[in-house]
Amino acid sequence: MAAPPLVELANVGKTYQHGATALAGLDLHIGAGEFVSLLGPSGCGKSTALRMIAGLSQPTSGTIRRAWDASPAPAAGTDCRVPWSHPLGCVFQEPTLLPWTSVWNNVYLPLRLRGVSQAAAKSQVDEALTLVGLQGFEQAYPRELSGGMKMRASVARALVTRPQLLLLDEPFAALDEITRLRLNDDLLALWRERRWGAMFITHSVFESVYLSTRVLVMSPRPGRVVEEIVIDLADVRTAETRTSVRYNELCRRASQALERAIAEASTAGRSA
Amino acid sequence: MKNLPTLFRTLQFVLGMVAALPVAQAADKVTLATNWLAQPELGGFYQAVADGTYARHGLEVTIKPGGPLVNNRPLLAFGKIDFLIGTNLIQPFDAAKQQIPTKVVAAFFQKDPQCLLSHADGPWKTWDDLKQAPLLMGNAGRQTFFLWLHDAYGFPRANLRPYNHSLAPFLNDPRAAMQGFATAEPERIREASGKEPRVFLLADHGWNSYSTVLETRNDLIAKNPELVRRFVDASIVGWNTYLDAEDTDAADVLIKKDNPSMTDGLIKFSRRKMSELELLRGGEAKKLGIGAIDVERVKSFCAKMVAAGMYQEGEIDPTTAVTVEFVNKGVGVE
Amino acid sequence: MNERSLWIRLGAPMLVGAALLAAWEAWVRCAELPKYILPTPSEVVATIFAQWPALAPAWLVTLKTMLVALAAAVVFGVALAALFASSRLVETSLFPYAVMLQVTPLVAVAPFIVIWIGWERVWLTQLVCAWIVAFFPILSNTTMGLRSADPGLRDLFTLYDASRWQRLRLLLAPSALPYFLAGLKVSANLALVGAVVAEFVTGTQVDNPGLASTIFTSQLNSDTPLMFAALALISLTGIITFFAMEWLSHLLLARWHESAVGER
Repeated sequence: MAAPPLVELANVGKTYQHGATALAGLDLHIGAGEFVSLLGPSGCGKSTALRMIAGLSQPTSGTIRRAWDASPAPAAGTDCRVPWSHPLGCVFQEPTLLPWTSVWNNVYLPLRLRGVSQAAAKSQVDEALTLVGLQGFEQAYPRELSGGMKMRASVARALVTRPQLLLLDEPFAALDEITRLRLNDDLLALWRERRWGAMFITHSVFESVYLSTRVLVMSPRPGRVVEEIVIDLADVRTAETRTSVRYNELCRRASQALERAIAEASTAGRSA
Repeated sequence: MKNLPTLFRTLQFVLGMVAALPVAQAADKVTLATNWLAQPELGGFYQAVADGTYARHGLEVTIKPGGPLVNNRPLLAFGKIDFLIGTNLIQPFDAAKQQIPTKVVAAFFQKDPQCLLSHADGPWKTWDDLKQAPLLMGNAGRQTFFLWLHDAYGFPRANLRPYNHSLAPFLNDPRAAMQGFATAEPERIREASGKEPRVFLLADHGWNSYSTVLETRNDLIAKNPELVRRFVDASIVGWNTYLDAEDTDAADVLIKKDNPSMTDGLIKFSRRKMSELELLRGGEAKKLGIGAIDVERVKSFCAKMVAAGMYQEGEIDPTTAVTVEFVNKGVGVE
Repeated sequence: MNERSLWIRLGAPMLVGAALLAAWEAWVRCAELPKYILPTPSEVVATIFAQWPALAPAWLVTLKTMLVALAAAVVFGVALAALFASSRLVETSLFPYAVMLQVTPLVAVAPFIVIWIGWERVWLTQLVCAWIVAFFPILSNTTMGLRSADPGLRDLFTLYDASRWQRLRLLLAPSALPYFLAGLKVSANLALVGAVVAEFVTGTQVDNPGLASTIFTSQLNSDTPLMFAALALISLTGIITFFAMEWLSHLLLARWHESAVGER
């Protein structure tokens, strides 16, 4: 951890106006090239943490430091021929594609919002589509695609700005098992190639261990990080990884940490 | 309950009366549909209902009022009603043109009370002045007498303004002129503004249509002329009573029941005007009795409408639109 | 919409129409109803041809009122909807008045509209009357549509710092389009009804009469076939408008919106 982290959350809390506390005392950091999974039960505030990192929601206490806050993105209308990069990419639970336009235009959208012309954006958009394996589907409309392909388009859109940090909010949870495993492998392959920092939100122990370099286990609401598990598996992970002893050991550790956190929370709840 | 014996006695009395009546068969049920809300200008018919004149002629008459949003005319051809009051001779001419088998059997108003009105203190003092006035006129007027005003006197089309039976637009503009009935609107305007307006009768300028004409179906005339005769006669008697009697309360109660906006003041004014203007007893009706029809006059009016461009030359035979079979008999003339 | 479904969409109603017209024709002939009570469809068609020199200009007058009123309804409805969508406060303050305008019977307010606008401006008055009838569905539908944008997409636009204008043009407007088109479909036919009713309530015209004047005069003159001819033209206008709107929706939405996607 020599390089400064891409994003660092210190003692972050979030209390909603209606009084519910989603997060309390959340500390975490994501360094460049790390693949960090945030593992926790539903409703523990994982998505809230992601939204705050993305700037879609503000913390009510604590601080969030982002590496790129010091050097903001170029203003709209600056030199359009220079391919533009945005430090963040985001993949939501749903594909959230514009239904009224083609896949190509959907992937082009982040660049378009920055004033990059279609011509200037072409190579960058085509590259992103190729990365996710959607070449040949440029002119298709979202409703003509399968669920997995829609998610691929969504990932391409998040990558088109060449982000430093990719945020993924249970992106493949709604897909069938086979498609999900396939997409996870493709995602890992991409990450190995590009090495952006990644924050992956999931409630699946196996998925988190399989994908990550580090797993952060969260307690139920109000959420905070209760355990950090460094995943020391080889970078290249395959079907064999899933049957390896080390993988299963790590899964057990993560699983036990999660159970402990849930048990402690319910005891605390009873005594309160 | 103490009224029960009284009720019983009344019933006995009525039954006795009915038994004693010379009429053997039950009264014929007929329906008369009018062209407007209940008003004194239809008073004779209400009078004949109220004082039993129709009943004495063996008729049980129901009056179905018209109104601004009611068109009773198709009901006559349909056979849903037996008699219809028409506003003037235009629609009977149209019926002749469309070969609808109906006819005018009596013409109650010898003179059409249709008039134009201008403000008493406004700029329009003569008939010719009115051509410059913004003229409030409803849909029916535009498609009938306005065509004649335009043809015969050159009233410009561009001056037409909408009229929806509200006095507000007229009262609001001292330069405005509006259509009206000489027997009603002058009083309505006086009640609203305190001043009686200037009145210009179309009839004084050559509009020689009859008004408040009674129409029925040809097949009724053919099959039951006796019933038509009884209805016409009884209506004439009703009108004579309504014009002459000191007390017409019974008829006026019926009128006010059918048209709650009618006031005693308006009724009084209307009855006075009908007499003053000799609407019912002027012209041929003086000798021939109320309801009189002069076929020559019908032809002359038709010729004017042809000149106004409403009909083509020879398109209709005005004599088929009317029949004198039931009038001109001096009923009610001393 | 493929070839086959197109034929069903056009063919099925035509077949029903033909059957109904044939039944009408047969019934009137068998019952020997005179044409002043109910003309046969063939008499109506004959009347349309015979009276074409009078009917065609009247039709054009009504059509013009309808189309201009519809255009005004689109412009004002969409502009007001954009205003409503930009601020809850504006919407809350103004919407009740839009509703008021919608539910007030035209027949009741028309005489006053005539006075307010000035009674020399007959056509403008008719236009305003038809507009009042037509604009509400566009306003309420577009307002709803502008608010219906997917929250995930809203987040996405926030993430990439989209400007207000970009958000309106690239997100809100396309999201509102299906709603707007549904409103337009209703408004187009209301504009037709409005144009006819407006002509009735503001007074039928001796100069430049529209179809309402034709209906009124034919009623007054007991010319039932002519009245039916005018009604037939109004119906025809309504049907053409309906199909034109369907076609427009299909053109704009076919590739992406459920409402316009034909069965596959």
